[in-house]
Parts: sequence; structure tokens; C-alpha cells
Amino acid sequence: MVWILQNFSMNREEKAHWIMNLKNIFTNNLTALDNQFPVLAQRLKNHLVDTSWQAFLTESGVFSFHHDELDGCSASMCSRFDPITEGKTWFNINAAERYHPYVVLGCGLGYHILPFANGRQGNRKIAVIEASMDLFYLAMSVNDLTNIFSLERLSLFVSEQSILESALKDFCTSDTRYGLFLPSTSFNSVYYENISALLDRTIYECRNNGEGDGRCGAVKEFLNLLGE
Amino acid sequence: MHILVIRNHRLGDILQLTPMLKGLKRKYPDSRISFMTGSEYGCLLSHNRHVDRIIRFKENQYRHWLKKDPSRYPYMFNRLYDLCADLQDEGIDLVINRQYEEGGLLADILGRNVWGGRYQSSHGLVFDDQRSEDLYKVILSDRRKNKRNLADWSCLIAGVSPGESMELNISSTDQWAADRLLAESPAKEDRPLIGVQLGAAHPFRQWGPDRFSRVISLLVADGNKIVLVGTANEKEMADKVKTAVVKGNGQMIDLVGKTSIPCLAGIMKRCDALITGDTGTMHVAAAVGTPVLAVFYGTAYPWETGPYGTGHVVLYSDEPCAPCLDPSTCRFQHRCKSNITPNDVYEGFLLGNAMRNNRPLPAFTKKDGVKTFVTCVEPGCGQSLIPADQWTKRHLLLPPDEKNLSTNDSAKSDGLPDRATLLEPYFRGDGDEFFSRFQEYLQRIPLLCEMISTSAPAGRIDQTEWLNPVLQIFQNAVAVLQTGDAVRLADFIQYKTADMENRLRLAVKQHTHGQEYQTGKASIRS
Repeated sequence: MVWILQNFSMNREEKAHWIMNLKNIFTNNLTALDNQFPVLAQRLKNHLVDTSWQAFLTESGVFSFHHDELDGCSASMCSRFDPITEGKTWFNINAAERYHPYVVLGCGLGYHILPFANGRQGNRKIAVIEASMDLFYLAMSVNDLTNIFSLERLSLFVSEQSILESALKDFCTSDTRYGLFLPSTSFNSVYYENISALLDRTIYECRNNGEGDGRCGAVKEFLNLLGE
Repeated sequence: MHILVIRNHRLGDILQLTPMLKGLKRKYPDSRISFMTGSEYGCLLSHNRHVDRIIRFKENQYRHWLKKDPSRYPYMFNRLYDLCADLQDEGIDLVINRQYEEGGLLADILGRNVWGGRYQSSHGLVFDDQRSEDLYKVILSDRRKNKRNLADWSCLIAGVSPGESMELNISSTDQWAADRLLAESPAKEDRPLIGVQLGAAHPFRQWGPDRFSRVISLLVADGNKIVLVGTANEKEMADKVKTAVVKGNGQMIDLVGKTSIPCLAGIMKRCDALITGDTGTMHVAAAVGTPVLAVFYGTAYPWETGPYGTGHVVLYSDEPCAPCLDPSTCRFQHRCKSNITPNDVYEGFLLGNAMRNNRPLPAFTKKDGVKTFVTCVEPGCGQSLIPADQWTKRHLLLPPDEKNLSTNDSAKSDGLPDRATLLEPYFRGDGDEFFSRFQEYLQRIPLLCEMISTSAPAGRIDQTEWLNPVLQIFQNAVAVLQTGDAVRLADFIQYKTADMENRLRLAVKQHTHGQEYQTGKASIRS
């Protein structure tokens, strides 16, 4: 974890404080993850993070990361000013006050995942899909995700495309919704395009099989009329 | 009370609903009105003070996918399902559907209370209200029995008093862009400006470039300036007209294919009159208060879709078979088109001109098969078509304040979208839309700067006070856009654009609205 802080001009005491803090967060997260997803926890322990990630403190005092791409473009993983507000806004726009099963495409640094752990979400089915093990590692290092990992109906897929198709078929129902977290999904766009197409197909099949609430027939008929 | 109005396509039909929207807001001042429409027509309502939310629906895109790309079917199905589910969750108290079949289906699943007809696969169109049923029966049996404009029908269906004016508001930037297009043309002489819409959506609705060129020759000879408007598909027609009009060619401004809908409205606002068939441009001109001379033949029926307002002139080819349903099978060689000659149109134009300027009416030739009407809207009654020979001064002339009605105090004068609108695709996860929306936003900034510079009185303002900081932020914005980093862009919009917008808005207020400019520095800093 030390390398995260190597770019910061801090005195020794401050650095030691941060190192202890981040180590604690990571260890707690790993323990919670091990309880729910032991295979993933084991993969994470053996994972080596690419050192080209650039860490920086945002204006609201939490960490963000930045990555330069090979094509000359760059990608920031969350707001450089206020990632927590950004995450809350994303949640409010996409997923708040809904009791539909929800698939989050892109874990990012986890700031937009945190609101799912609040009590009002009840026993909601949630799936989080992340393409990059690096990003998941970083999220575990900077955010306390223990409340998320303790959710009973959470499914977590990190760079596991092979099992996704069958897993999502089990997960999806006709009222499943999904939302993309743009910073992470732009970082690995082809992966997420495939997953969103897969989700579209799966939800469509659920709805097409008559599962639902009577809207399916009307929507089908609407599309027929539009196509004429 | 949450009211949903559905009308997905056709520019004119959407504008014909604006009197109804005005009436609804007047009748239910605390209501929330959502308008579902095709995404390309959202701009018609974006500055309408009677619409609280526009639900943009990608109808054209969906039609294309339905015909060409089956792999998109799940995507469309899911989007539509979610849209319906969200609207059902919100709770719609009243659906006013102004679109048969497609709209009727949506109306059926969205609301218990539907006016304008719902569509059920088992029963077809079902009407909950008598007015809608009356209209549908008239249209289905014999359109000639209908003597009421669709704008008035909509008001009656919604239970509001007909006779309100249409409304189309545009931002001052769009108006300025339209003015610039006119100013850049070689025709500089100060003459009355007459708009001519050559084409129409369907070929059988087009009167033909030969006839138009003869009318234009007569108008130019009378000392008028002509502006040709239309879509890019009508470029060929415009070229034919330009070639055919030999004398006075320099008095023609060709803007065919060069205008967006708001810009077209800006052009229409500057025109002294418009000559057109039954087109969307006709309704745009009527909505911004420009007098129209409309030529109706074939499928067009002026009582239904004539230009709404007082003082428009309509030439109607009154054949026994008109209005027909399928002009492609015409057995009379489209006699309805040839009935109306360029001379009739010219005489109609002179008639309208004389009425508006309160001059004695010129003599006009009465012909079999062609009728000349003048439109008249009376509050509470709606629109009627008065035969031109029965027109007297007791009929109200085009109210001089009609143009003022279409200016909207609440419309943002600069036309810049707010931050929430810019950021919405970012939070929805649609990167392409996010970047393209910001690009459109950026394109407006130089336009605004230029508008302010040209509007400010020379030498009275130190432009560096506002221009330099704005340009600095603008350059930063371009740099951020080029990084391709969505987060940086979102941060930039959220935290950096406010200063630029404040400076621009202040400058617009000071220099384009004729407000007294106080000593530069103090007011800008404030």
C-alpha cells in the first residue's frame, strides 16, 4: 500500500497515519470478503496491482486514481473533487428507491456502491460486475466495503466473463434493471458493451416469456405498430 | 395533478397542441405537464413555459432499427418497458393522447384516465370521451364534414377553451444565428423579406419548382427579397428555382438545408410573410406570428391543418375528390395542383398584404375550383375560414401583439442547457451522448461571444473584462474534451463552467437586452 502514497508530499507522521489507515481498511475488507466470497478473496490476495495507477487525494479528502491509456487518452476513476457526492448522485439517478433487482456495471472505487448498503434498500438483490481486478483491489484499499460484503443477496463478479452468462441468467428477472458507472465502464468499454448486450438479451427473454405484469404484450404490440 | 401528453411526430401537429397546453396550464395551474415526443422535436417545446418535462423518445431511431437491425430488438423492448414502468411508478393522473394506435397503446398501459383514445389489441381504438370519438368518426367517414382546426379539437378534447395562440419560443442565440445567416447573404438591400418553402415531406404535397419560380419572379419584380427555406433534400428544387428566376436573382437568399428547427423559427420571425404548402414550416411561421399564404391541394385540408391564427390567407383547390387519401392513384392528373396558378398565389399574397396594412383590398380573380380564405381565430370559438370576398374589417386583423406572445420571459435568452441536463447522460452511463452534448454546448459559446461583441455599442465596453476570462475557460474546456476523460469533463462541468456562464449571461443581459451598462468592472464583478 505504500506505493499509493509515494507521490504525496507528506511528513513522516502523516504518511504513517495514512499507511496504517489504508492497511486497516484493506484487511477488514478482505476478511469480510473472505466470509462471503472465499475464492475471490484468494484471487485478490495473489493479485499484483499494476503500478502505473496514479493516486491522488481529492478535494474532499478521499482517494481517487488515474490511469493513462495506451492510445493517449486517460481515465479517472471518479471525481477529482468529491467522489462521495458523485457516487450518491449516480445512485439517486439510477438506483434509488427502487426495489427491482439491480446490476451495477463497473465497481470503480466503490463510492457509488456504498449507498446500496443503507438500511432502506431492504433485502434487494444486487449484482456488481467489475472488469478489472486492479480496480477492485484499489476499491478495497480506499473504501470500507464491509457493509456491502455483508449484504445477503449480493453477487460479485470480478473479471469472470466465462461464468457470467449462466450466473446472470439465474440472477435476472423481468423487472431487473442495470446501470453503468461511466468512469469504470469507459476504462474497459468492450467488456461492458458485451455484458450490457447480454443483460438486455436476458431481461428481454424473461419479459418475452410472459413473466411480468402485462406491460410486455403492450410494448411488443407498440414496436410492431412502429415498425409498420 | 400529473398530465401526460403524447404526440411523437410531425412538427406541425406538435405545434398545433401548444394552444391546448396553454389552456391546460391555465385551467390547472398546479398541474405538472409532461410531454412525450420524438427526440428531434424536443426543441419545439424546450422553451415552452407550459411544459414541465419533455420525455424524448427516439422514434425515428427505433423505426430504423425495427426495419434494419433485429439485434437491437431486446434493447428497444427493454428501454420501452422501463419507460412505461417508470411512468407507471410516477403515477399519471391524466393521459391526453393525440396519436392514434402507437400513442393509444402507451396511453392504455400508462393511465386509467385517458382522453383522446386508447388502443387495445382486443378492441382496437377505444374512446373514454365523446369529443375524441366525434373527431375520429368525422375523420374516418368524411373529412369534409369537419370544419374545425385540429388545434381546436385538441382543446376541446382536453376540456379547455379553444382560441389561444400557438407558442414557439427560441433563445436569443438561435435568433442571432438566424439573423447572421440572413446578414451573410449577398442580398443587402432593405426590402420586405418573403419566405418561400418549396418542398414538403411527401412529393405529392409539393407544388413544383416551376410554379414557385414564376411566383418568385413576380414578387421580386414588386421589390421584395426572397428567402428560400427547406431541408437538405430540397436542395435540387432550390437550384432549379434559382436557375429559373433570371431577373432579380440577386434578391434571393438560399437557406435550404442550412437551418435547424430553432434557426428556422428565427428566420420565420424576421420574414414579413411566408408562402408555402401544407408543411411544418407553415406552422412554425404561424407560431412565431408571421403571416402565411398557404396553398392547399391533394391530401391537405385547410379546416383541419390550416395555419392557426388570424389573418393568414389560404388558397384551397376545391375538387370533389379533395381531400384525397391516396394521391398516387389519382385519375385526374393531379388537377388540384394545376388548378392553383402562380398568378392566384401572387394575388393571394397581395390580398393578405393589403389586409394587414389596412389598405383597400385588391380585386382578385374568382375561379372555379379554387377558393381563397382568410383565417380568423376568436377566443372561445377557435379558428374559422372566411371566404376572402366576405371578409370585412369587423374580422380581427392579425393582432399586432401576436409576435410578442411568442416571446417567453422564462425562456433562457442564451439557450445554454443547465448543468443537470449536461450531466444527465454521464450519470446514466451513456458516454457518447455525454461528450456530444458537451460539444453542442461548447459550440454555442463562440456564437454567444460573437453575438455579444456585435451587439455591444462600439467603444462603450472593454470586452476584455468578460471576453478574456470566458475564452480562457473555453480553451480549458476544449482541452478537457480532448483528453477523452469523462470524469474530468464531468468535474469541469460541475465545478468550472459556472463562472463562464455567469459572465456570459451578464454580458448578454447588458449588451443585447438594451439595459443600461454601468461602469464595466463593478457590474461584471457583482
